[in-house]
Amino acid sequence: MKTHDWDSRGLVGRTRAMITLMLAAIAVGVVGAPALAHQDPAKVYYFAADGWFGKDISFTPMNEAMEEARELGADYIIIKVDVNWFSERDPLQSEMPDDSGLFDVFGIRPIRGLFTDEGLEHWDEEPEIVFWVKNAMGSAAFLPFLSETMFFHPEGRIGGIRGVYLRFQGGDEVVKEKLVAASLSTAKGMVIDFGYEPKLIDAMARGDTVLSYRLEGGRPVYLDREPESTDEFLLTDNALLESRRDTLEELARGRGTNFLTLDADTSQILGVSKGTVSDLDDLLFELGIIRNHEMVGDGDKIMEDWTRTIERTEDALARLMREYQEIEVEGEWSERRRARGQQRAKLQQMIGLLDRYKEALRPYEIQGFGGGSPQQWISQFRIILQRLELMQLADER
Amino acid sequence: MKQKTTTAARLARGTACALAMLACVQVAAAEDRITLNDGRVIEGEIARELNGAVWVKTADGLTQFYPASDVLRIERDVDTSGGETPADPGITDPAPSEAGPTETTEAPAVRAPSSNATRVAILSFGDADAGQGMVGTYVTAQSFRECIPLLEEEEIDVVVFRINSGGGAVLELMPLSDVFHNEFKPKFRTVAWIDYAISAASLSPHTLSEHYFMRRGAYGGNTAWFGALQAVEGRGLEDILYMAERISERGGHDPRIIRAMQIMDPLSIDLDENGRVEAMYQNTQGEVLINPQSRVLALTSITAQQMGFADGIADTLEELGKAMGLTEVEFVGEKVEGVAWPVSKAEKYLRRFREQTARDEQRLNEYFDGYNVAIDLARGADEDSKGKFIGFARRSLNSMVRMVDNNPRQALFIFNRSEEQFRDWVREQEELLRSL
Repeated sequence: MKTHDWDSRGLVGRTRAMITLMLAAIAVGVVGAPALAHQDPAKVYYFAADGWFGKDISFTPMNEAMEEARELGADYIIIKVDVNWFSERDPLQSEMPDDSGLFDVFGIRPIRGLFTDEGLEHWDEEPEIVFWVKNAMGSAAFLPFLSETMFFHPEGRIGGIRGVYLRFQGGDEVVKEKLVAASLSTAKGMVIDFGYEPKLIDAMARGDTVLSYRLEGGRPVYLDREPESTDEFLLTDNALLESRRDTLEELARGRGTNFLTLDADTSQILGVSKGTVSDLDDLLFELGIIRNHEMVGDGDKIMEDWTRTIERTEDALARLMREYQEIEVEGEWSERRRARGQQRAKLQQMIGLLDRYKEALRPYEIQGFGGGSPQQWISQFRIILQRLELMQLADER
Repeated sequence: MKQKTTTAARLARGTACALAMLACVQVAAAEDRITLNDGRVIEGEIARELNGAVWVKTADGLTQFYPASDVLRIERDVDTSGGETPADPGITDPAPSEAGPTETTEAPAVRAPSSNATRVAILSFGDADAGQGMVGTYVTAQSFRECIPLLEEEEIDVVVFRINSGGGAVLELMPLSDVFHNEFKPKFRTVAWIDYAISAASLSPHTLSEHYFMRRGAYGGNTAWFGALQAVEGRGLEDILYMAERISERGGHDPRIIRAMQIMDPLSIDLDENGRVEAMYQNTQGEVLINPQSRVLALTSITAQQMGFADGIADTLEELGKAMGLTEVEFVGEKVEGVAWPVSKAEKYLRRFREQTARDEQRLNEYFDGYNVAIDLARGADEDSKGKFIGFARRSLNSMVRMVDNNPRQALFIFNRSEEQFRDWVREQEELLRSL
């Protein structure tokens, strides 16, 4: 999943760069003012938010990347969004259909704060944040909406949030509806915050949404009904109607219309995307800085270091748990005391790791651990620590 | 002090109204005009533009949001005084996508404090991002009551409740409403600032009359439930519906709004030619459908404005001051890293209260387990070594007592006892420890 498209200069990018060069030369010739040469190059900070959302892509590494960008005085921050879209338990890593997968709007909340006015308050000058969408599915669907500027990769897509319903399997309908309404109003609030159309969220998440559009003056006018003329176009139709429900053939081919998945073309037509670019040079060209920019920092290293750190932490926790379980409390009083001391040390190390990396750890994925959140494991380990203390008190010499 | 403060607040409001009227007269000469796709024409000052969406401040001081898809045409600086339209009225397509926030020429609402400035305190109603949003646990009537003397000490005129909570316990709703209505309202101008207000976190602030939404604000989803997503039904439901009606009445809100947030009742409205709500229906007959059949209502900032529930949109303190009509305002408190508003004494108290509650919640199982295991060990120990276990048990018991001292609601939520019953239980345990 990790890609570095910005290293490869696409044909389009090279062509555009040449045109830009020629135009710049003409401009200098005509105007005779080398303004461009004197202008400070725009500082561009780039990183890819790829891998698992909530694990590889979480608050700490993104905050560190944003902080590095701030320290380096970045004018532009470009974030490529390319999350994994297959089941974690699928060894073949087969891509999931657009209408599956779980979605939790609240997963984005900690990250959201990095991009709001409040989060950018301590910048001397707010940077232009640009999201470049390749795969923004499931919980990551809202990441690109956290900026006013979004570009798409030709294969880019945003969607996979039907899971807002799938999360609530049992229970009464009215309660599920309340939870869905709460999730979606929060999601809509995020897109409204950056000037996007909230009706798109219903179209992505609710199967019974009917949404069409027509273009007036190049801008979309959204219609809460099916198209009624040839200049109106369907985005989603009602899955509750038998005649409108996506067929298995349509679903298998990703052509269903009950749940909206935004692709590059539709996004551009709707004004969600500012354009479609296949590599970073193309994107810099679109931003108008291809000839006058400087890449700064190494955001990718921060993100990759974080991924490696989490992997190492998982390994360390599995090892510590194994070592803890292997300690036998037996023998003389001093041996028993030493053994409990070793157990305490292992528990304290595990508590430290769980606490530090709890945002990205999933205990069920760690050998020797099971279900429950990192906080629950911390709580459990603290109880054991306390019991060890009491056992030591009760242990007679 | 109380009388002086209240008078100052009234004076500030009166001045704000007068200035707002004056501003109306001044802006009437040159306004922006927005023509919507449905034919309506909105006149006012464009406060912000983003990707074609516009926020328009109208003559009554309210800021209305119009999504790009609703905007047909924008005319800038139109002469509305009856004179001739300027040669270049500035007709444009709805804002080009590059358009940034419109510069305003007004003086910032937040300025250096003077003796005439209205003193405003922001009180956080939970902190969902820190896992401290639960109503009943982190947001309690008692903790807000404790704030009142601290607010008076700082001579606060306006209290802004900044809502950031996903809801919580039904039993805390009425106590919170009572504190807001009976104890805050007579002393302060009270305002809700909506970030994330779901379920109990929207029902209790519904007691307040003024609601300002952040653009990302969410408000509603009040269905009462228990266990495995089971809805409260029958008499229990009727009791809660009635409670919400009373809370609506306290806030001066149409009860049909909150009802659509509680059960799957639809809600629709008719608008007059100025875009104001003319009629509201608990069905789908209105021209604008706010909540369809079979849905539970949760408002966004757009729908809240559309139906006239939001008094304005404000993302920052400056915008909030302006939206509230305050010409000179001091947000009281000290700057604290990581907090986007000044932290007053009352806010500092609330933050400390929540932090301690969070620590206690995390350590609760330790307190319990330590107490029970130490008691067992004490019972089985000889007389010489009993003391150390009894001491351990006493420390654990004291931790539980401190937890309830900080947050009396924990007696109910954790121990399933009233506070008085909890104190009785503690006395029994102390007796037990003495007998050991």
